[in-house]
Amino acid sequence: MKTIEQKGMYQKFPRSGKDTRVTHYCAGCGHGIVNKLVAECCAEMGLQDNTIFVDPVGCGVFTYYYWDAAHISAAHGRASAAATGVCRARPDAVTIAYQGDGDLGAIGFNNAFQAASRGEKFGCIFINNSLYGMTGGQMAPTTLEGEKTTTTPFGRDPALTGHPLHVCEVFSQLQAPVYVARVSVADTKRIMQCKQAIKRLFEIQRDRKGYALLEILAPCPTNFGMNPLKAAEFCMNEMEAEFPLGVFRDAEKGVGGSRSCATEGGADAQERVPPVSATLAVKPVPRFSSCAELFGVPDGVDAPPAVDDPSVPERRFKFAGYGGQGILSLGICVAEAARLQKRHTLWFPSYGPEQRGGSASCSVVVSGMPIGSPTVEHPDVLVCMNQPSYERFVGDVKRGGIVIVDSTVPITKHPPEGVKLYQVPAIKMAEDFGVPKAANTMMLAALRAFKATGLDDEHLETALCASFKKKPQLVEKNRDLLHRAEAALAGA
Amino acid sequence: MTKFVKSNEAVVMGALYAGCDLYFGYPITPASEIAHGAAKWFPMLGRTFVQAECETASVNMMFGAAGAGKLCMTATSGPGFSLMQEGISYLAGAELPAVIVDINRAGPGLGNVYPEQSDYTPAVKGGGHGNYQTFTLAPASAQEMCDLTIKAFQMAAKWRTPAVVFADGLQGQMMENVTLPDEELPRPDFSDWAAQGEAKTRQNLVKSIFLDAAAQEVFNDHLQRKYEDMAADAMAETYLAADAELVIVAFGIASRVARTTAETLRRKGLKVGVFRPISLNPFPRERLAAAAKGRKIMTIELDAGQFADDVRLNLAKSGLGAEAANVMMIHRMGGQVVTVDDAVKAAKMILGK
Amino acid sequence: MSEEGNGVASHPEIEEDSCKGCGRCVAACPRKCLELKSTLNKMGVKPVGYVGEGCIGCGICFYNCPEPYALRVVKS
Repeated sequence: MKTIEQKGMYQKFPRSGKDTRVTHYCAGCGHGIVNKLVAECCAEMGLQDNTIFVDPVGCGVFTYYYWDAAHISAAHGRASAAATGVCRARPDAVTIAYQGDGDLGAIGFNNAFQAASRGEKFGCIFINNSLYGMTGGQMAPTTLEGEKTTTTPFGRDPALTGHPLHVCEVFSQLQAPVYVARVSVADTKRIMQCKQAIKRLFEIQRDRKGYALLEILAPCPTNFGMNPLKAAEFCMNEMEAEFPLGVFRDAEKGVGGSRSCATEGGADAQERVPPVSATLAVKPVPRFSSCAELFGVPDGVDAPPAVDDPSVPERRFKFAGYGGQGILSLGICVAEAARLQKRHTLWFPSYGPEQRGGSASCSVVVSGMPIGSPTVEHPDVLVCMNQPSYERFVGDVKRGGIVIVDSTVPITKHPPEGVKLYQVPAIKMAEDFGVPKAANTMMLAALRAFKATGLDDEHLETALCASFKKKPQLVEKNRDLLHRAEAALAGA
Repeated sequence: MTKFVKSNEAVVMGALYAGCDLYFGYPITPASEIAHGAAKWFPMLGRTFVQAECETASVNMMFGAAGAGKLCMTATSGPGFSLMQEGISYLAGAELPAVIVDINRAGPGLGNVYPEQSDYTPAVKGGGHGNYQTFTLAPASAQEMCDLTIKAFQMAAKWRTPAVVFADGLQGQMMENVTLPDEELPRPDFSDWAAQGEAKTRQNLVKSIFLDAAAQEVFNDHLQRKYEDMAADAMAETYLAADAELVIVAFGIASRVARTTAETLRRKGLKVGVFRPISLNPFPRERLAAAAKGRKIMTIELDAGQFADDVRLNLAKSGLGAEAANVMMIHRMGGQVVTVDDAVKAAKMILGK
Repeated sequence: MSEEGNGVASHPEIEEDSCKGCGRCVAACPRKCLELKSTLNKMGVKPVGYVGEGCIGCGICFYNCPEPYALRVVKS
């Protein structure tokens, strides 16, 4: 004797504090038929321990009362986004999202579409009953032309509301999905096909093949305003005329095109179609075993932590010029030298659209004690490489401060009283030395020559060399340029 | 290991040391370096970086990953933070640990990319729907961007709550020394409630829905008790405040302006100190009351006064009605930062000097 | 589960109070051996009933039924 009975569901459903054996679905609802098949497939395939269902908002919201497996109940429209998080967090689990016309077709369409496009490793069951069930039978993106809903009381007019959204047809244009199909639960034959398709969805996830979408046409007798049998007929006749059933993509079986069809072993073993470009290719990611190993190497200079020294006064620097003149790296160079001297150090760039507009500036604060305000309103030292930056900042310099400006900048404005002005032919010297890009190194030479930083020459030089860490061939060249510039400045 | 890094990068380093396994994010200035760092370093440690299609997706991806029992994070700025509020409410409603970093830019609307603290209310009071709060920490240096990100993960896991690291555009961009931790934190075990795709978590259900009004109220009571208990982990610091006649109250980057202001005024012989809440929620109310009792109070802030109002509220709730009534504020908006000069002038005025 | 010939004829087992009376099983049954009853169940709907003979244990009624526990099928 054999019994055909429900598998994979809880025996009782504790909804609203009451134990019941019936679902919350209306009589003749397609969700109920699908819910039974999903539970049965999950159980028959032995996947209940490994499956994480991501539940929607909509008529499918209560599947967590029914399916005997772990559930995460997502926000409206976001089941595919949440499922992305789940399958990334638990790549060994089987992740199944369950969504309806509003959840997937409207509010969450882009989340579902982008997840499909990324080839997230979850299966998405999309119930298409051509309207919004839970909220009271409103128009959905999938509503048929002429179909009457509570928000299309005269029938859906394509001139005003467009045409029904064909989710499978759209998703099957994407490269990543390995399976896209549309089935129905309107009659016995279709229900059994649906079961096979749900099984396929689980298989694909169990074997970690990739993204799969299964659209299921389902009758909604309540909101169609029909008895369950007429609703099923509507589903077969009217809905299928708009939404033909079929497999749009099954990569393993060679149905439809897919660029990424995994054959075994999951993501890393995915067979990749050769890239379109001969020059652009994914590079292997260097791997590290721990944070200590990854971050254990200094990026710039290898400096010790700062040491408090109240005898060292705070000094604030502003570096300004045109993008490409090496203004930001000049600032970092001074900051790194300060770090080598165990000073508290802060570097701050101009950023955002002003940086993209061509001008560049940065601030550096160096102090013997922890630094308070990071902003440099009144610099002790101002280095300017072009006219606009000179005119903008020169008036702010502190009494007793220093301004170093490139000789190409006309002195249209005089610095405040008590501020020393040095005009340095940094751009010209760099050109004369045959390295036009090294104007910032010339400025560093000037900072050293005029004792403007309060930092040891040795540290400034070490910091300069460290700034060329990634281009070692430039280290000695710039060291040489620094010395030649200093000699030239001393002679001047 | 001490490194000279951008604060935004320090956030990523902190997250990795804290055991964060997944980063979900959508780029936005001035928070993008966090995504850049995560995109590079998470995969290098075998962890996961996903560039989401929008901030709504980011926060819901976190809902999924946190629901599946892993530590995860995102980073954004004002407009993206607004988009995430619904999802943060869901995280709170399902009691999921996750870390959201908000690098505040100027608003409202598109605003600009310069620093403000104007996201105060959503970052501190729970910006989405329903009775929820977040654990909100306000770093003031690159070191703290690392350390308080780690703290945020610890608090998120301890209290099963979304935690917010609340900083601003200026902080995000600046470079300072960061001394990295010696050890990575062990991964917390969430198997008693998370959906992990294993036999032992099969019966677990992650949800924020309580259809029954009575059950929803019981859950709300539970949340409120939890938020009261969180006060035990409130954090604050004071500077030169012991004998101060005027206490400047400020958080984040503004607290550094406050520090320089206090130093400047001390050099002129004026007794000025600083009280700085490090956690904005839970607000360190008792410590504020202790530092502020009988003193003159001035806030420095980069918003329209949301923080000053919160200071007044916390003083009033501590029984310091007179102090609350006399809280003065100096503030800038639009991406402008309060200058030390202006703060000094304001403090002198309050002190009648 | 056991071999045939144990004396039990194939038949549906109906949990009347879990049936919403949608009639999908009645329409789908290839042997037309299900019908909606004239009496009401606890929910106030007319549940499905077995006419008493003709069941071949195919399970089609079970798969058409949207309810998990309204009916199960015993196959001889």
